[in-house]
Amino acid sequence: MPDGMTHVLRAAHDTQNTIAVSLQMMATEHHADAEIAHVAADLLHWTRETIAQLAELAARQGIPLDRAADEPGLFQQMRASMASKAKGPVAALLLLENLRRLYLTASDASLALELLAQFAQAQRHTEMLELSTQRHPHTLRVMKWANTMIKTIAPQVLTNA
Amino acid sequence: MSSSRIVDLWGDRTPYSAGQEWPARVDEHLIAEPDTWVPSASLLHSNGDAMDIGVRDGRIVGVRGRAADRVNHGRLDVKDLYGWQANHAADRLHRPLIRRDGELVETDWDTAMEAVAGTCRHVLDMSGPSGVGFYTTGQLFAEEYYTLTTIARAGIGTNHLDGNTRLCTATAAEALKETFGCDGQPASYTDVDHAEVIGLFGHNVAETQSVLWMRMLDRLAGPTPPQLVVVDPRRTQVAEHATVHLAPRPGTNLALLNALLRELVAHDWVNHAWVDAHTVGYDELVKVLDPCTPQWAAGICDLDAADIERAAEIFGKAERLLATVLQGVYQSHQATATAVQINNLVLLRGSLGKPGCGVLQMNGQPTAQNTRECGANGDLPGFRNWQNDDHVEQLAEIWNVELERIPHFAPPTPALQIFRYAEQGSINFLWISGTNPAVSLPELSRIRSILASDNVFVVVQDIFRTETAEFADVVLPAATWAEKTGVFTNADRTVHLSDKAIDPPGEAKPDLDIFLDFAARMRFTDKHGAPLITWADAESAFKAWQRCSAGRPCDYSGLSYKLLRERGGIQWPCNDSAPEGTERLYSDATFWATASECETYGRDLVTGASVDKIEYEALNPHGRALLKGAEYLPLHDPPDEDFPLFLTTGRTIYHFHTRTKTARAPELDAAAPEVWVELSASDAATLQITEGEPVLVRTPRGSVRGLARITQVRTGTIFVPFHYGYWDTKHPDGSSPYRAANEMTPTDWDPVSKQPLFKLSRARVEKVNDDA
Repeated sequence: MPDGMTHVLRAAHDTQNTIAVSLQMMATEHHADAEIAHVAADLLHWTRETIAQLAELAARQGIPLDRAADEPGLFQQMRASMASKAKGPVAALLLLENLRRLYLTASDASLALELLAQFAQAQRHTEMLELSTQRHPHTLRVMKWANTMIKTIAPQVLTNA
Repeated sequence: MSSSRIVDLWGDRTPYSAGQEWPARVDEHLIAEPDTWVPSASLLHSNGDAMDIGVRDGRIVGVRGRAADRVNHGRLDVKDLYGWQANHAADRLHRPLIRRDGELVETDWDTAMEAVAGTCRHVLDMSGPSGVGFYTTGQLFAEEYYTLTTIARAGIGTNHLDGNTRLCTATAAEALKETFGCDGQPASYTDVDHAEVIGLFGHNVAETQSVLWMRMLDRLAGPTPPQLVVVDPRRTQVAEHATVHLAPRPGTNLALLNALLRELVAHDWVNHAWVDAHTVGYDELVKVLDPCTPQWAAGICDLDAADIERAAEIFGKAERLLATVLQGVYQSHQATATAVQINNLVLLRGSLGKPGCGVLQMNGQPTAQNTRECGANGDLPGFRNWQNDDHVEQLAEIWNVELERIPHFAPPTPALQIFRYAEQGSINFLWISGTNPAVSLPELSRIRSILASDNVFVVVQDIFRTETAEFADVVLPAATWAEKTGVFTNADRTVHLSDKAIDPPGEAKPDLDIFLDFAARMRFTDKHGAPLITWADAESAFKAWQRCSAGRPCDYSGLSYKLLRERGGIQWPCNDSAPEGTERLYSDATFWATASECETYGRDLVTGASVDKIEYEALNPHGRALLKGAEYLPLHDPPDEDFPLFLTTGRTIYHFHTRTKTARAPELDAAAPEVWVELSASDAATLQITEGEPVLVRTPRGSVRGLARITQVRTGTIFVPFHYGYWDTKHPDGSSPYRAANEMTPTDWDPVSKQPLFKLSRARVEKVNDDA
């Protein structure tokens, strides 16, 4: 059984990495939807910062976590690049589905940062609390963006599916 | 007035001092003595200069600036002096065209309009309202936009209506909404008469609004000249007059603005009493600004930190500070976030709503303001909030339709997304009025393939057979300025009436009549089965729009055609409480920013994610101005080894948009007949390019061939004007060189305002070897 510290740090780190991989795949898969591709790249910038900062804090606690964000694996890259060739209603539906998954991934990551904050408060671990407080808005931003894009495109995509 | 104005672009100086009235100077160009003079204003830029059109024997024979008008005091831009000749061009569209066996052939109005209405009905049957899209302009009149909006929102019930104003003024509107809760230009051109400091951000006013520049030049020549702080990567005429000229690396405007604001905070050049009383968000803003030192920004922007400090000190110590903004901000990276920081600059100084104080988020087109107000620019009419059911209910009452008829389940669709839906096949009917996307949108090869697709029925309504018309299934010949009546509003809220002076050529019709014909054929009705459109001509359309605008910031209820004919330009809001119009908004620091009044609850300035009503109410319970900060982000697609330069695009004073009118005026055409490429002396030396030699500019998307001009543009940055297309040259087929700058621009836009980033492409310049 891992201790509480290891558990919350790993959960936060894992979920941020899932966001990072999703964003990279979306930027590839939806390059024809310029706004999706570009904002995904912007959000990736902050997600990478969060991952690095989590890893640095974990290292100081003697918990080894990767500083660099995960990259999509070979299979995932192939899938994104094949999916990017989809046209018309299929491409639009794939985008809607990816945004839905991104929202869920980001809410998972948001919960993980909340666990981190609660643990930090119980342990009076100021540094960990600060990290969680500072990075949480960036994860919420991913959720809000995914939610906005879903609301914006869903009527068109689903009407023409 | 001789053709010397082609050379002497801003004419003679009439110097004046701070607080004095700008002296009149009447500009005119006539080729014969007119029988009558007909009042109008300029349709070839956004300044709204009032003029009278000289008519003799049913033809325009010239124009004269109106001395008594508040906007221009008699002066005219060089385009206005000569551009009217396009009305009489031999190649105006005289009859409708319809595509038969792949060719556009002449037809009658009934056949053309039945094809339009019949196809629209068919698409509605097959896919519903979401299959229908409208892409309009910033050059029709208010009555026409309001009619089109009523048709699209309440007749068809589609979310897909936007203007080419998305390319020129969307960021201005969005930045004003984010800061003040609602669109509406805070300041007035008369603030130039009083300002002690004018900050011009990406605003080459000398060419884009040359009459406003004449006003600034006259202040500069007077006894109490204002200081100018100019942000522009080119050493423009405006920059030549600057106390401080900052030429940042393209794409870094936000880093520069954040550093300027941080200096204001660090030196306590903040008007705390005003900020505390009238704004929210100060502490959050200061947190975002904290890391943005002048040294940090100097590295990112490739500027001298001392120059940033000097500019900040000028802003920080100014009592009467006027800031102006245009495409250098709006069409660049993090556009809305940057424009909002310029609003923050005047808010931190408390420089608002008083003579010489404020911000002018400019427009690029003569009637763009009306596109915004009337809801043809991706907003609901009267600056109403699509997320606020009470606002939508007001429209439902005005139009007498059920609430559900008006789409408000998602934000209105921006232009490039309309084209994306067409590309994906979910929009099958696209009606383009008064704009030329085959030259003006980014990444033209993609736009051409969408317009050429068999899945989209394309209607083009224009005055010439444009590059876009070549892709149309039906072409509708329109009347233009001087050939129809209506009002339009400039960038400082001045409303002018433009009266009909001459008949349109052939069978061409006013855009209003075309829309009304369509509405009649579609039999749009209200909820009681009566016709949805209750007006039949320009003046009754204006009255319908007045009713829709009443009680909103852009209130036209106190205006009338009669009053506008008598008085000339009047600034909205004009109503019972302000019968003379309103020179400055927010003079009492009261904003349209409570949750029940505001046009938007706001967006995240980085991602564009929507803020909801509850969040907004918590953030801004008393409806104050909002200080919103944003972090600088690196560019999406920076220069690299293959494409080491920045390409930026823009205007020249001699042309408007895709030259459909200005190139048909011989004087203007001769002044700038061909596309050119500006580069710095140092880049020219490295590439061994000499002045006037043909060069090829290449980006990952396309290329353009033009003549080299060695100018004082930033080293590492090149400039290509965007006006040139193909109607007066061979269409690009591989054998002739491309000349539209948008062959090269990327499909990328600001996620908040959805305005394309025309100012940012990575590029290279190659020598052309004609012998090869």
